[in-house]
Amino acid sequence: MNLLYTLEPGIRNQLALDSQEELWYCSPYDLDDGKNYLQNSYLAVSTERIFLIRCGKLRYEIPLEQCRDVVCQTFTDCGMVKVIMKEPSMVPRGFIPQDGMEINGEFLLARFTLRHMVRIAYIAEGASLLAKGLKQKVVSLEPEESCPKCGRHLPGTRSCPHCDGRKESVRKLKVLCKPYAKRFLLVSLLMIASSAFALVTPKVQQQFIDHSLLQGNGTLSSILSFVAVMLTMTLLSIAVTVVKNLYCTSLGATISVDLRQKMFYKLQSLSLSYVQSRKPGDLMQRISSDSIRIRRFMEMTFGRMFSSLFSMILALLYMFFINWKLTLISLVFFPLAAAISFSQRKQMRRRFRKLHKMGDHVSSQLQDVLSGIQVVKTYGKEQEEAQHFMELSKDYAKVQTSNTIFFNCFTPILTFLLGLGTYAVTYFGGLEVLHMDMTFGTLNQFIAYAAILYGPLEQLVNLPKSIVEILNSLERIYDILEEESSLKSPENGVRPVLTGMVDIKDVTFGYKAYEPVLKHIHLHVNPGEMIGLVGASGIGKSTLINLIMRLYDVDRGAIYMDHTDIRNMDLNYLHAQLGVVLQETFLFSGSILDNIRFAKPEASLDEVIHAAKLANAHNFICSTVNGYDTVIGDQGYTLSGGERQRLAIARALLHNPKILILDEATSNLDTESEYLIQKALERLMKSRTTFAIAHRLSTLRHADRLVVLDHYGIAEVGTHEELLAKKGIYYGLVTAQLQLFENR
Amino acid sequence: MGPGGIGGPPMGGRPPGKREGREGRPEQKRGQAQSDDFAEKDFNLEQMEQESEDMVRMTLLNRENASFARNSGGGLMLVFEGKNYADVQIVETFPFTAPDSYLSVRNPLMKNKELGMIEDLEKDFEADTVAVIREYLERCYHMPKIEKIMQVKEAGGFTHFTVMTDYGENQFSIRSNGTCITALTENRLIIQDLENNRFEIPDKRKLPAKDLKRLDVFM
Repeated sequence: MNLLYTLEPGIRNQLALDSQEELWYCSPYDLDDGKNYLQNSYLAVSTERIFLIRCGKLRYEIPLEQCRDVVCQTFTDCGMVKVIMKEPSMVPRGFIPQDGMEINGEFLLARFTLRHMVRIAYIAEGASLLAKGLKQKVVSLEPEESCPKCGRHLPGTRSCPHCDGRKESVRKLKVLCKPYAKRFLLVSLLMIASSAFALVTPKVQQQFIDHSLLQGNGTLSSILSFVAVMLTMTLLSIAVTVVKNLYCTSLGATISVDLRQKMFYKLQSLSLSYVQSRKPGDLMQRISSDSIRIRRFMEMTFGRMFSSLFSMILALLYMFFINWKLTLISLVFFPLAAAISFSQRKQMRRRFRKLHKMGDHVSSQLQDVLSGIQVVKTYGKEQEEAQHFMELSKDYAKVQTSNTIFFNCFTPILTFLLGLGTYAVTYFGGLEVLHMDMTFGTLNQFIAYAAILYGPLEQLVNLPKSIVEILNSLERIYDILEEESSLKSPENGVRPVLTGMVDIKDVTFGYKAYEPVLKHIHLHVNPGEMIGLVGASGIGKSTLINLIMRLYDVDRGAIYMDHTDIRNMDLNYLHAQLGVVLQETFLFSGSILDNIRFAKPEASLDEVIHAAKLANAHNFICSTVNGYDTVIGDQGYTLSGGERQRLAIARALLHNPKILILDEATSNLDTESEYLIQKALERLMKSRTTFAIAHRLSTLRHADRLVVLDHYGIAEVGTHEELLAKKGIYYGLVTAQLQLFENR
Repeated sequence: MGPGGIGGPPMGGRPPGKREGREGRPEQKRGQAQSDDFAEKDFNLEQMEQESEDMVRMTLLNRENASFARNSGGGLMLVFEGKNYADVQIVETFPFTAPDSYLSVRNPLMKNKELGMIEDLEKDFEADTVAVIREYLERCYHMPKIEKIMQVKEAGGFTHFTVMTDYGENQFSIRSNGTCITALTENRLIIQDLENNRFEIPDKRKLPAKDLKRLDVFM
């Protein structure tokens, strides 16, 4: 996301930046203190000052050294930036309301709609850093939501379909088609061939009519030969069309499969932050429906419509060749027919959309009532609900009726109008034939061509829309394929031998860079140490672990393993050194054996059993239907929570990582499962550096050190006994749990 | 390793612990600075019980016991029952059905605890206070009202509107499938665009017939 809008020179000059000063952030903002949108107004931040530009004029400049902090707050459908000065007296005059009072030197700088919310939030964070004397730039990796030029929403792509025009899309189309160039060529040739048949047939008819029938010198054999020729041509034409459609469909399917595979692979290799900055439905749609759209386009649009278009053009040319006057006459109605077809399409679309929506209303109302029937009955609302449903159904029926009437009245009229061209040709052509200026056979041929010209008109009206849709889909697909992962394995990543020593040095991070979740985290972990992470819910424990695993890159600071910055390590190697046991045990659909061997597929059966035994899983596995070959997952054997945990532990044991990440399950299990899991975990954590998000007292007591997170940082560090003695946050957390437990 | 990181934001970009707001953005506490979250301090059972009892009571503010004034931060300061509050927040509890009734007055410095409610703005306060509060509400709730629809263009599954509102001219885009138009009543509509901005049409019958037709497509 662009955090530095370019200011036009007229405005930029007003800022009067001196030689050392750099403009770091600039964003438009669009609300004033009253009830007006603002145009040409910006909030800009340089390394020295904050600027407020309203309607093209610089109104205020505030020296950053006088600011204590800059914050961005969200309200309903709008946001505000507030500046807190070091001294209340430093608040600029214009910001103090007549009868108001300053609070701690805080004042409202700018108001804006949600259009600029994210951008200004980042800028406020950037300004805040500068105000605190930290010369660090804030960068946003989020994609733009609207085009900076025309303001239109970007449909999940990086280039604006409106501004950048179709250049980009056409380029992508070329990239797409290149590997299939030969097949496209073949399909095009087939299209030409099938069009040729369609066009040659009238010519043959013309020959027959003019030379055999009309002259009266036709014989039975000439009729038979004509029939034979027509039959052959028809058969050939059908054959060519079938082959063409076959090829088109197969080409469409191939392209679609290919794209889907590429996208899936690419998505796996992109960083976690990319996947999470998009909505999950969005990505799934690209892989499934966008590629389906391309296949359908190839099958239907490309094959048939382009064929029709091609035939139409050729027919037109031939018509001109035969009799240009008549051609022009027949074309007179063309624009009218096209316009009417087009408007019919639009109307029908509108009506169907309305019908569809109403249908949705009716069925969702039905679903609501039926699934909540118990509530309806308890409150005795059956009559009201029935009434409501009847009203909805009546409205629905009304719309259906209106649509059907429209369609049934409009269509015959439309058909007539579309046929006007042919009628005109018949009339004027007929006149010419009567005046011996044209033979009947030629007229017949001409009428046939006119039919070819007008016939597909109704279909063709859809063509521009289909093309736009397909280009859109392509853009969305290539958005993924051309994305550069932000979290990359470095070239020549090192692969040091790890002992399990971890150093977290001054780490600051936020999922959104302007909203840090962890600030200035500092921790040294010795090899084999077990660290328990404690803190209130949502405080950042999982975040810290995600950073250690390098699923996200830190915003500031660094994490070292055995003195190597993890960003310099080969990413795959790093991940191979880590083992994970999560809260939500994720097991793939497959056999138990496959699951345990997930990280080490080449492990021997002997090793698998050993790991399962250590994890206290061997016994329950033996009691399953097929032992280690039992298939688990959606279609297979279902395991209990405790069993899943133990499987995950077995998996981690087999993996034998240097560093273990453990996120303890919070659900209450029966005592025996608890004990078994506890023991399994103990064996897993033995002499392995472990980061555990722990909830159970038993786990906490075992930790070498406990790290208590609070208020974005580390609040307390120590053993269980030390922290209890301190009577600080940890003490509070433990006693709270005990109190609640007692009260039950 | 399992997907999605440990317990961390599942797909959708939600940082753990922050409640999901619209479109996956962390929901902000109204009026709170974005990074202003309080962790549990010392847990005190008695205190929690007392607080939960307090929440049941309905305290009413009126001209007798409260006075409001604007502060430089764009918020309101309040003097209530002898105590000074430098910055308070007012929340519309019924923004659509009864915007002037039961306004909840809250203290952002104390975990947004409710100080009391204004039962009826016009009745309970003098005209000048009413004006100050209205101005505050206008600032914190931004809902432009559409007066005229100037252009509707459809392209690639999105519909782009150019409208005239009481704030001036504006443009926005919605998805063409019409899921973003809510009918609060039969004639009162709210359109939410792709950036989550909302626009109100107070009475669709008051729009020129042509505009109404364009809207009808989405209804």
